[in-house]
This record gives sequence, structure tokens and C-alpha cells, in this order.
Amino acid sequence: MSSVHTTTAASAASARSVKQAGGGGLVMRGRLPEMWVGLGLVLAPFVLPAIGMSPDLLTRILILGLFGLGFDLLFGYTGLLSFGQAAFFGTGGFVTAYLLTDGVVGNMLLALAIGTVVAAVTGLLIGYLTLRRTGIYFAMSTLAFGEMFFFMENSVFKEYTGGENGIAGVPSPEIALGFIHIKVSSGWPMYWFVALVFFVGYLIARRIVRSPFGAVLKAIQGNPKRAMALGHAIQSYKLMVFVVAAAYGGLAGGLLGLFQSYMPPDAFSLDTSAQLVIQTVMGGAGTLLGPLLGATIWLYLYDGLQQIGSLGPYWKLILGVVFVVLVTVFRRGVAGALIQFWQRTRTLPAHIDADASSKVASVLDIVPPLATTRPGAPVLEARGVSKHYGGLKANSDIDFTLREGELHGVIGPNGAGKSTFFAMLAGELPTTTGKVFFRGQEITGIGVTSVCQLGMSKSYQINQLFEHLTVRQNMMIPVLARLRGRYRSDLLRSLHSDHLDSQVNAAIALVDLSHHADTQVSEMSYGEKRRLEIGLALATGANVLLFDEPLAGLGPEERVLVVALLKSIRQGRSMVIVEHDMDAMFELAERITVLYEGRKLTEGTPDEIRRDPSVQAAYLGGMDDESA
Amino acid sequence: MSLLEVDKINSYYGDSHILFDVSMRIEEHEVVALLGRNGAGKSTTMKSLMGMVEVKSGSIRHRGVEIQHLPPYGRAALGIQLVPEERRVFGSISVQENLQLAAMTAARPRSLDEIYATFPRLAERKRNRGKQLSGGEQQMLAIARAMIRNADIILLDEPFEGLAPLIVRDLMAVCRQLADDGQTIVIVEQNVRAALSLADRAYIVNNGHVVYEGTPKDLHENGEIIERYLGVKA
Amino acid sequence: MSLFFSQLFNGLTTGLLLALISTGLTIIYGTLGVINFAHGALFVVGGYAGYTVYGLTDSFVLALAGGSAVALACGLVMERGLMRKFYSRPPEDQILVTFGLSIILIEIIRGIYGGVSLSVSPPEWGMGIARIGSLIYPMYRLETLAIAAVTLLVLYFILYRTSLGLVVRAGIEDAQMVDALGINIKRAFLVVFGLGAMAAGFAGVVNSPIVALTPDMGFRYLVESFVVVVIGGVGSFPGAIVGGIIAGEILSLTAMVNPQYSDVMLFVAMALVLVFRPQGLMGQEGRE
Repeated sequence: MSSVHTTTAASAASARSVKQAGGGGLVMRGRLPEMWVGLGLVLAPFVLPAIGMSPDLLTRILILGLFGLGFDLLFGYTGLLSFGQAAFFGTGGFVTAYLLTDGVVGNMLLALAIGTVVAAVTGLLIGYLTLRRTGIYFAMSTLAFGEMFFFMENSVFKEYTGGENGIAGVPSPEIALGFIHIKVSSGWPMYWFVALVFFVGYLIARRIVRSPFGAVLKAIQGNPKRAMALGHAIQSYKLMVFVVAAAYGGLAGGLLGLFQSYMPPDAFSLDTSAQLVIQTVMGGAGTLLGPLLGATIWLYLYDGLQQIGSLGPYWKLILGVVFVVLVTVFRRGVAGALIQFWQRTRTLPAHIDADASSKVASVLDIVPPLATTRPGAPVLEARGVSKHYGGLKANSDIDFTLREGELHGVIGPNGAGKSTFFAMLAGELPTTTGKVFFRGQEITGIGVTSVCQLGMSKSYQINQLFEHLTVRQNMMIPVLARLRGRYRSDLLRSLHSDHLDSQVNAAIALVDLSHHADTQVSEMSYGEKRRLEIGLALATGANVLLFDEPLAGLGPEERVLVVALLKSIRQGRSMVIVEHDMDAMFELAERITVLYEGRKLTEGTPDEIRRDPSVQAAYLGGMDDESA
Repeated sequence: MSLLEVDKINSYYGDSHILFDVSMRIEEHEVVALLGRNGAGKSTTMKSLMGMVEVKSGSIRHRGVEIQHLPPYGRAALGIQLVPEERRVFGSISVQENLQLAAMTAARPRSLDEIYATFPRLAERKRNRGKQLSGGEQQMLAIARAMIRNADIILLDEPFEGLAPLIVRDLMAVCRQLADDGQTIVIVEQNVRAALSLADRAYIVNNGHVVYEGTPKDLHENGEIIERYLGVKA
Repeated sequence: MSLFFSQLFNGLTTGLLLALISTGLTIIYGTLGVINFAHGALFVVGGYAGYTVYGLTDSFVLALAGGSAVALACGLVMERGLMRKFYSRPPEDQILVTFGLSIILIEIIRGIYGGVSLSVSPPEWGMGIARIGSLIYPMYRLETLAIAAVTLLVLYFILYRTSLGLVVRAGIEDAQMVDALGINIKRAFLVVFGLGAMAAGFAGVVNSPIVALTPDMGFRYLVESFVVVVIGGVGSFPGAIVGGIIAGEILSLTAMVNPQYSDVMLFVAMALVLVFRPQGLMGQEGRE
């Protein structure tokens, strides 16, 4: 026990010293993008006209960039590829334009706000329908709904939208805030107005990305099932980011109408949705500025190719080829490639989280049990649990009790039904008959997220990690769920706090990965990943832990380490372990349940099990001689 | 030259190292049993032989020719046939269609009549879809698919798992007949008694390593080996 | 009343054509797990290639063959050249690359033929009108119905009565096991991709006398075939037919009431399916 503490203390200390050395500089680095973008926006009107970019072109790029900020949150950060964002661009744009042209609302800012809100509500509706599926289905249904809006513009809502003609005569913007009254004329003043809106949008998007909400989004992109199992209600997060993306789209659409003094029906077209996707991918998804860069490339290329007479009509073909090449070769787009190049030429590791505190809590939090319990009281119970699949009886009538503070093993030959039983015990799988109780509360099939929030967590046989995030970023996910519950809309809050970070550092130290805290998981060895796998379950604060073959795939030395780890974490926790490594099992378990052919064969102390002839027979096949 | 020679293979599921320097040989007309607790690596060995699991180092030779780079269909063409643990019978097509599919690329397939003679139960159910069959019938179909291909080597992965004793007895009889007719078989089976009654030789696998090689007689004489690696240590 | 029946008939025609296009899409997705956003482009490629052949030979039959062949060729080149690399990449990447390919194909078409719509006259045996009882119906539409029905029957025959079809049906379920039984599954995939592409191209030619050719029509048919696949269920041949007919009838019958709403109604139907039966009418549960 003491040796484990020494190593963790030492590694925590070394991690701290790295921080202090880079300290101040790294914190500033966290704010760098906002400064650069602000500077860029201010300098652009003085620099870019020299290469032929007019104020109108720049304004158009910014509008598309704003549209893309929301889309990048959806696709680049959460991994949801939507082909129907035009629905929200058009909705926001037409609502704003209609309100202003029909005189329903005089204040431009108010009209923009209303347009944005209506777009967001539309996003809520469409998101609810489409997020019921994932991946390809999701992309397809967003595409279809996007098209639906295009058709509705020219039919159901024709009166308001002007059908094929769109809405002309949108008044020039006037910023009226009581004490200020500014008329925004076309040309540079329009640029400044849109640039300001874009900048504010960018600041908000940056906040979101660096908030707890944003951290969960990245987890959903990496491994949605694990994010759910670690206590997050991922559907709610997905819906929220979808609404946010819709809001950005609506705002951008409103600006388009004001900019052109005209709201075109093709704002709703598939072309618009597709353009957004292409620009984001070309520029680089997951960078927030990718869409802006992509829009610049797209519009500049379009303008440029028009100048070269013969190539003019082929600009889209050229763009298509560039796009296919980028998707095939440079998955991360232009911005992504640039960032990768930038990181490789610098000596600092790429992923140091500048804002993370280096404090280490002395004890990792454990969710306290709701009622006071005494040692030996039942903590996890299965009563008469069975699972039938048609005619197949995977489990029949199993009773199982885990007591407070116990380490209970489950063994059985192949086909015994261990995995099915384990899944039911973890609340993942509903039973056919029978119930599962956690501290007296029924949890039969309530689902992994709820179970985790109650204080029980599972570690998987096959590593379920967030491969593209660092160890620290991985460890944050379960801690965030414990501190914030299954869902919280904390989009603007800062991710790091002493409490969060000290807990995360404690969890990392517990599984002896402090020296790898800022290493990307995909670069670690299998044994280190396995320790992280266990660490994630621990970091949920669970007081009951289920381990599914924790030693799977480990070499002999690593097995020794993990067995020692499992022993060292017993304080305050009750554990169930399924394992095939008999030596390890007998070393660890206080009590063992033996399953055979879907039923409980027997249960007892390791010694009792070893001496039980029926267990030997089950493993060696003697039972088959008895009549069925 | 052995029919199949496995030399120090290391197999992986993703980056999880499952088999460590595993070596074994299979002679023609032999029945070889692979024993060990589950999780030991027996199934992984079978899948490595069939090309369904990545072998990162070491070699597998079939009649002296290296095959570890061949995809599954290439190995099937050489006469190696896996009957997988999960059976993997095609549920959406009929028994007959399952057999026809299996026979499609076989050099000298057995006839349907021959198969139906061995498995009358399957003849009765020939028009039923795979998913309508019971566990025992699915296992029969899985074995029948290998038989219709007239495979050189049949790899049986846990053929008796989860089946009622009467069906196990019938399947054992089929296997015994195949063995008597000279079929080379590698069998993974947790039912040690059944496996040893069929086998000429046995390997024991533990935690991804081969820890023992011998005949059933050797094992019966050294009972503690069975308990140590297959049962629950006394 | 006769309007109702003729619209019903129209719906069936449109529906079976949609089914033809969607069958390719759904089978490709079911076996390969790849969603081909370029499917609509293959429809357009077929249509335009057919137009050229028709112009050169005056034979609609040759046009059908030509259009199908060019679409087949494009499909094979796509699969061998690019799609192969994407089988192990996430689905979003597959969507993006096939989308990019569709843009390239359509822009090439636009470059060759221009953006103005091209009308194709029906073949001689398709001119005029037919009388069915008291119904008067354009001859070509009737023939389209027959052609589509026959082609779907041929596809059915291929899928359910040939060895290739057996391999495809088993492959939809468990491609790795098919491989283990000695069948080169990659080659089978290529054939499947090719057949799907050919079906789309063929439909493109068949459709050209009814709807004038424009380069951008591809996306419209792509979206409609997506809706058909969602309604019918992924990977299901009968689902594509049932979904197609339902979609065709919705489009046709609502057009009777108000043409501008017919597309919207189609999407409403899709929304209903997504809410109440997300796997589609005949799809397999849990198939993503």
C-alpha cells in the first residue's frame, strides 16, 4: 500500500513542476485564439482589399463563418453530421426579414433576436425527430427535413416568404438601443457590424467548447456508449447542441437578409446545407474557425476562377475534386493540417491543458450511500433473475447478494451465462423475470446512466476509452457526471475548478498514470489503457464496482500490478469481479459464486469452492453424464 | 511435414495481446484437442488459423506453405474450415441454402443427399430458415457446412456448448465417424471428457500460452495438470 | 373519379421507379454498410448517357443499355478507386466522400451538356395514349410501369434465385462468415455495387421521357430514395418496393389536392416513421 502512495506522490509532484515552469505562458496561450481573431477582424479591412477582397466578400464570408460556428459545435465537436442546417438558416432569415419588412417589429436587433429564437425552437423540433437515430440515418433524415423546409417555403408558408421571390426590401439595419442610434449603411459599416456579431458569436462558441458541457460533447464524439455509462444523459446534450447550432444558423440567416436587403429562397436549399458541410470540412472541423477558412477558400476561389474565363463554369468541379482529395487524404482539413504542423514543430507536448489546476485531492470522492449501512448489509442483490431469448435460456433463476465492503467473484465455464448475468446486474439489460436491487432500490434495466448516478459503475472487458483525448480529459468525464448530475446546461461555465481538478488528479494518481496525464490515450500501451479503464469506473465515485475480466489481455507482470491495484482500492467500496484467471480470483475474492449453464451452481469461500466436487465436474464436463 | 504447423504466433484483438508465442502441429488424419479455461486463448487460436484474427508475428504453414497472410476465403480454398463457437448460421436463408452457399466454392463437395443422410433432422427442416432452428439443429447445420465442403481440416470451436446431453451424444457420434473415416479435426471443447474421448493428442492453453502437450493417456495419468489448468485449483 | 384512378396509377409508376432507384441504395447499404450519396448522380449519369446514345442510334433500347452501362462503369470505378479505402473509416467520412463524388459527376455532366433542361421524346412504341376501360393514360407511362415492374422482378430473381443473390443475402447478415466459407466477399461487394449503380442508371434513362433531364435532378431523386429507404427499412428489398409504392402514392395523390404540398407530405410520412417505427416498416431492429 505505502509503495503505491509514494509513486503517486512523486509523480504528482513532477507534474506540478512542469506546470509551474510553463505556468503563466500557458494560461495566456489559452486566450490566444480570441486575441488573434479579434486582431484579424480589425486588421482585415486594411490588409485584405490589397488582394482583391471587397467589403461585401468579407461580410459574406463572416456570415458563413457565423453559420459554421454552430455547425462546427455540432459536427466538429460532437460528431453529428447534419445535412439540413439550411432549414434554420432560412427560418431565422425569413422570420427576421418578414418582421422588418412587414413592420411587425421595428427594432432590427429585436427582429434578429426573434428570428434566432424561432430558429432555435425549430431546431428543438427537428433535433428531437432526427436524433432518435445516429450516424447515417441521422445524416439522411436531417437532409430530408432540410429539403422539407425548402418545399414548405414555397407552399405552406408562401404568404410570408414570398415563395420563389423571397422577401425583397429588407430595410438597412439600424441599431437602436435607446441611447444609441446607428444606421448601418452598406460597404464597410456593414462589415464592422457583422464582424462584431461574429466576434461575439466566436467568444460564446469558445466558452462553450471550454465548458463542462463542451467536454461532454467531445466525449460523445469519441465514445457515446461509454459517455452514457459514465453517467451522462447524452441525448439531452445532443439535443442542446443541435438547438445551439440552429440558433447560430438563424442568426446568420437574419444577417444575410439585412446584408443583401433581400432574403433569397435558396437560403433553404440543399445547396446551402451542402456548402456549409463542404466549407467546414475543407477548412477543418473541430477548430471553430474551419468554416470561416473554408468559406474564404470557397468564395475567393469562386471569384478568382470567374476571372479566368475558361475555368469559370468549372469552379464547382474543381472545388469538388479539392474536397474529395481533402476528405481522403487530409481528414482534418486545412486548419487541422496547419495545427498538426504547428504542434510538430514545437517542443511542448500538444495537449497540456493550460487551465487545469495541479492540486491533488488526498482522497478520491466516493458517492456516499443514501442510508447508513453496516458492514455485511446487502448492497447489490439479484432475486430470481432470469433471461430468456425466445427458446434460449441464458440465465435461469439466479439469486445473488453482494455485501457491504465485500469483494465477490463470479466464475463459470463457457456458456455459463456470466456476461448476460453481469449485464443484468449492472442494470444494462432488463430481466425476463426477477429483479435487481441496489441498496434496496430496484434498478432492473433502468439503464447505465441512472445506475451510474446512483453510485455503481462497470469496468469493461474490452477497453472503452476516449481514444483521442488525453488521460486527464478522459478522467474528467466521469468526475463531471458526478459533480453535475446526468445533464446540466452549463455552456458558459469554466471547465476547471480546484475541486474538479483535484478529484481528477486523485483518480489519475490512484491508477498510477500521473506521468501520463497529458498523453493522448491512443499512444499508450495496452496495460496503461487497462489501468485507465479501471480508473474511469473509479472516478465515477461509485461505491459498488463491477469488473468484467479486468485482467483480459494482460501479460504476467501486468496482471500482478492490476491485482495489487484492485486490492488497494477496496476501502469504502464493494466489488464484483468476473475473471478466468483462477490464481488471481482466489487471491482477490472473499466469496465466489459459480454459474453453470445459466444457473447458480454454488457459492462459498474460495476454499469451499476449490474443494467442491460439483464445481470440478462442471469445469471438466462431468455433469453431462447426468440425465437432463 | 505436418498438415498444419503453427510456429510462435502472437495474435491480437486490436492492441490486446492474446496469444504469446503459440506453437503446435496438426498431423493428417489426427484429432487434436485444444483445452483450457475460457479466456485462455483457444478460440483465438482457431480464429488465427482461419485468418479471422490478426497474427502479428510467427508463421502458420499448410503442407509447408506459409498461409498467415491469406484472407479467410483463401484458407477455405486450401481446405481449412472453421465451425465457429457462435455457429453463425445464416438466419435469413434456409437450411438448404446455407448448405448450397457452403458448397459453392468447394473443390469436391459432398452431395446434399450424403449430408441429409448423416443429419436426418436437417433433411426434415431443409426449408426452414436458419433462425427457426433450435440450438442443436444450428450446430448440426454448422458442422454440416464444413462437411459439405469436404474440408481437409475441420476446426470445431466448442461444438457441444449449451446443448442437451442427448444431442451432444448424437454429435459426438458424428464426430467419431468423421474421425474414423480419416478426417483431420482440431477441437476446442471445455467438456474435457468429451474432448479427450475423441482426441489423439491434446494441447492445453492458459493465459495465451501453450502449457502442455500430450496424449489423453498422459493426461489421465497426470490428473493434477487437468485440475491446475482446466478446473479449479485444489 | 377518373382523376383519382389516373393519379393512383401515376403513383404506382413513380413508386416503382423510386423502388428501382432505392433498391440499389438499400442493398448497397445492407451488404457493404456504405451509404452512397452519389447514387442520385448515377441516376443522372445514366439519363444523360442514354440521351446521347438515343440521339446517335434512334433506338431507345440501345439508350437503355448505354445508360446502364455508363452508370455501371462509373459505379465500378468509384468502388475500386475510392470506396474501398473507406470501408473501415467512420460512416461520416463515407458520406462526405460519396457526396464529393456526386458533385464531381454532376459538374462533369453540366460541363458536357450544359445546364439547360433536355427533353427526351418517348420511343415509337411509347407514343400516344392507352385506354383502360374508361381511363385514358399516356402510353409511355404505362410502359414505364411495366418496365419498372419487370426490372424489379429481374432483380428479385437475381437476389432470390441465383447464387450471387444467395451470397448477397447471406452477406447482408454476416459478411465475415461468407468469407470463411470460401467466397471472396470483396469481389461480391463489387458486383453488388455495380448492380446498384446499373439499376440507378437504368432508372435514369427510363425516367427521361417523363421528366426532362437537368444536372441537378440527381439530388432530388437522392432525397426521395432516402425517404423510401427510411420508410421501407434499410437492407430490405421488399422494404424498398413497399416504401417506393407508398412514397409514389403520397406524391401522386397529394398532388391532386395541392401540388406544392406533395413533397412536404412525403417528409411528414418519413417523420412519422422515424417517430413510431424508427427501423422502417420492414427493416431489422437495431440496424444502424
